[in-house]
Amino acid sequence: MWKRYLIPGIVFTALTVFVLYPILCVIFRSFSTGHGAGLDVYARLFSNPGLARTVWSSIGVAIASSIVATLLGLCIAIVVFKTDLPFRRLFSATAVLPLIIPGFVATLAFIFLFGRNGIISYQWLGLDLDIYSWKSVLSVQAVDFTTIAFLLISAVLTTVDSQVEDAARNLGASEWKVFTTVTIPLVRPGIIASLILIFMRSMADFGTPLLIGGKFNTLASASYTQLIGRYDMPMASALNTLLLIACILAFWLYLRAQKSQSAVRAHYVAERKNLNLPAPIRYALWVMSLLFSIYILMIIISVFLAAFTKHLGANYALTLEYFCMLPQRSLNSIINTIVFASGAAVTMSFTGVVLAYICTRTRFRGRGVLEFIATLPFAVPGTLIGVGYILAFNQVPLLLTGTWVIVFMLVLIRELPLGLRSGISVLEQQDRSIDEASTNLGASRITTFFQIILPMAKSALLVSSLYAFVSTVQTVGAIIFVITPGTKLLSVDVFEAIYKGEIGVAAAQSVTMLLVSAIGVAAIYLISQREATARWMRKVMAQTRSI
Amino acid sequence: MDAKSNGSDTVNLAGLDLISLSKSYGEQKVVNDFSVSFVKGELFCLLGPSGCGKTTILKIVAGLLEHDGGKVILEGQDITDLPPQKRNVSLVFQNYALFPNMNVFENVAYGLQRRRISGDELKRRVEETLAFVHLGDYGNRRVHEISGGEQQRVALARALVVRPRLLLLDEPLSNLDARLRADIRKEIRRIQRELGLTTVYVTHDQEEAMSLSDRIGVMKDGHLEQIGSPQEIYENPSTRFVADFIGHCNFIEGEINDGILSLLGTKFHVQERDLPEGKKVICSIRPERIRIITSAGSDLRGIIQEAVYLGSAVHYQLIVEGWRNPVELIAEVPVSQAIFGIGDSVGFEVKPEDIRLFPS
Repeated sequence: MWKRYLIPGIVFTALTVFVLYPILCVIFRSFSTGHGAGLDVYARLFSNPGLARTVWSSIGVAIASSIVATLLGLCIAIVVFKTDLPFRRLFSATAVLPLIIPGFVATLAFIFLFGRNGIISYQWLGLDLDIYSWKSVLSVQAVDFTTIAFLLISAVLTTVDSQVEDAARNLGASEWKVFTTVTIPLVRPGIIASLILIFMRSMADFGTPLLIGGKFNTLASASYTQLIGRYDMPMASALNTLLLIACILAFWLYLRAQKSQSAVRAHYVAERKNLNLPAPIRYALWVMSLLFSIYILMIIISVFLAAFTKHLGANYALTLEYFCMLPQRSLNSIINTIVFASGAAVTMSFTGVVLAYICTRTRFRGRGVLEFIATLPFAVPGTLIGVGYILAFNQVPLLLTGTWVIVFMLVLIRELPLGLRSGISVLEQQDRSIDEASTNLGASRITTFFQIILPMAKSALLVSSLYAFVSTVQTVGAIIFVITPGTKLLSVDVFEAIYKGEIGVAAAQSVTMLLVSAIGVAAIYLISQREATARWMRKVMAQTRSI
Repeated sequence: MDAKSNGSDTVNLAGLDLISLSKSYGEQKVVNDFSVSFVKGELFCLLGPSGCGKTTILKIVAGLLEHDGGKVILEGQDITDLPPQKRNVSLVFQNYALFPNMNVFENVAYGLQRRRISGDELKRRVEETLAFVHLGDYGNRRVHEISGGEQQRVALARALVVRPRLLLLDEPLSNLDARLRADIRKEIRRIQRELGLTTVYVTHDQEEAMSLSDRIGVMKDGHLEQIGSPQEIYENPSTRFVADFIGHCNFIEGEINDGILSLLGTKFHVQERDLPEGKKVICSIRPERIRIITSAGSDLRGIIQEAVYLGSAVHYQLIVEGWRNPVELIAEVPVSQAIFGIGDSVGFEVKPEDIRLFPS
């Protein structure tokens, strides 16, 4: 009997310690004063106009970038999946490319392109722009998050049954009417999900405002500066708690929307057919997609240029001097990154299936709670988890600060929602009766798990762990708070180099990081040649990229 | 077959007994006080419309579904609380549930490996069983490379190779096309007879049940309406539901007075005496038991509304005039005698013994 609770019990304890406890630490810290509990910190926060303003700055930019990114994503998805215009493969490839370009690398490129010495703004147009403002934050985020919108919307768009559109045509609807009254309403679940998830991502993004916002601050970036710049832990906790409230509210909305929409989705592979939209609209959408693709390619090109030239914008002499600095500056980080990312990826995908199995196939009483805690890192901003890890693991018996364990656990926890989600979606696709057949033939639960369930999930798990690898290579959000000189990661090196203005080094490090990611992506691409895996991946990836 | 044991409980030592099984999902009772004895070596069909609880019963017998009450007694042994792995009761799933990560041989070998059988014996038994279902050369094939009918036979082999005490089949033919279905049906019957294996076969297809079973149990809403041989079920349905579910039936309102049935304005001396007099009854008549005659002298007359050609017979739809509301009847006539046209006024005959009476 106790055996039934052994594995769930271990998982439960681990999740409580490494997910729930740090989050609670932050919340408690924000409400604690020198003499018990109170709202002192919040009073201090709202009496400081600069900090008080971050609440509305965050929400404003988040709403704006979620709308812009969703529209862009929708536009590209329609061109790619609903027209026969040229360059569709290029568009869909560049639309997912930002997955391997972390926000801070996109920011770096934005500076190269539009900064004081920017290739476009200064070299071409002769403008002298001050780019450090909320507008730049919005631009960088919108482009970066378009990927999420594209993935979510195309996941739904590709399952829209063209027969329904044909039915509308048969009843006399023009192509435009078919589009507005049939296609768009059917895609609405994807649009809503995209709006909410991008809102959350944008709220939690501290890097972009920090690097390019100038005086503009958001809750997330302010919490970083309050902690790292001023060592004001209570204030960082309070800012993060406010951020958490917004993100949890948004996540709750997202779950509600998901629930009410689940009935609409077709469960079969639908026949796909193009929409013959009016020419001006079609070409407008196409031009938008083309501009987007060009911009994404320019990001990559400019980062490469900056890494291999003396001084981008002034001296184009080719050089390897920045790469020569890498072994000395970042060798440890590169090794750490590869080791941590592979370790986390493998652990994550295995843990994910075990969790998914407990949550969907057993009658363990706490399974709802288990699923909730394991999903939390998806909704909880990285800065909050980072601060939480500092607070939680700074004293005996959980003294982990400064060790590699804390960094590894943090990386693992951040990828856990992806593991759980992909585990659940794999198990959902597996026929329950196969599980029962194994039991019927005399296999125990453990045997069934290792002989049947795991092998069947193999390729899907490989893809999700590679994806976790790629996403870990670029992650900065929570890690930056717990990193020590001994446990540095490449992404943090890049971030710090940009922050300090060492542009050439940052570019060289970025290129290295992109290459490491690219290896993972190439592997994913090879495995997901099959359409079914590709579709599955689009859905899971879009929903679970942690914020 | 039946033997007395511990007191008043009658236990079927050789076959399978289900004693007042029940199972609900929330408010809804899926299986309700369900009891039946399966005789050793027989093929018993549980027949009923979808959602009547047939599959639920199979899963309870296999131990894959926890039930609320009742007992499962296999060969005299109470296996109600035995975990599913230990029951040695093989279930063939509706969608076969083959392991997609294994080839045909590995699928069939799986149950033997769980029973710690390996080496030569494993190989020999798997190959024997594959040959038995005519799949001798299929061992190395992947399961998604073979056809539906072949997958079905792999599923059957996988179930048989462990020498189960009981074979459970859950709508095994529903995913096959009509022609293949007839072939596999014969195959299942052959295997079941050769092995003398007690078999419970779940289906919603009455034709399948009729052609395959030793006995049929007709189910409705989680309980048994009637148990009997295919012939008994067809000729003496005990409830209106059974009459309606098995084959075609005409249902007509009638009245009983002093043991005499008034039906369509005609009086019949019926045999059945178990119904109260002076009450309205529902009479069921099989279409093939209505004889259309050309002579003008018949009391029962109708006008032909529609003729449906079925190959071996013709179904005539009659409107019977003259008694309160017009009544529709279907009469089945062999093609050789089908000489009537739409609009013809014809007489017809029904023998009293071909009328079944049910409470109104």
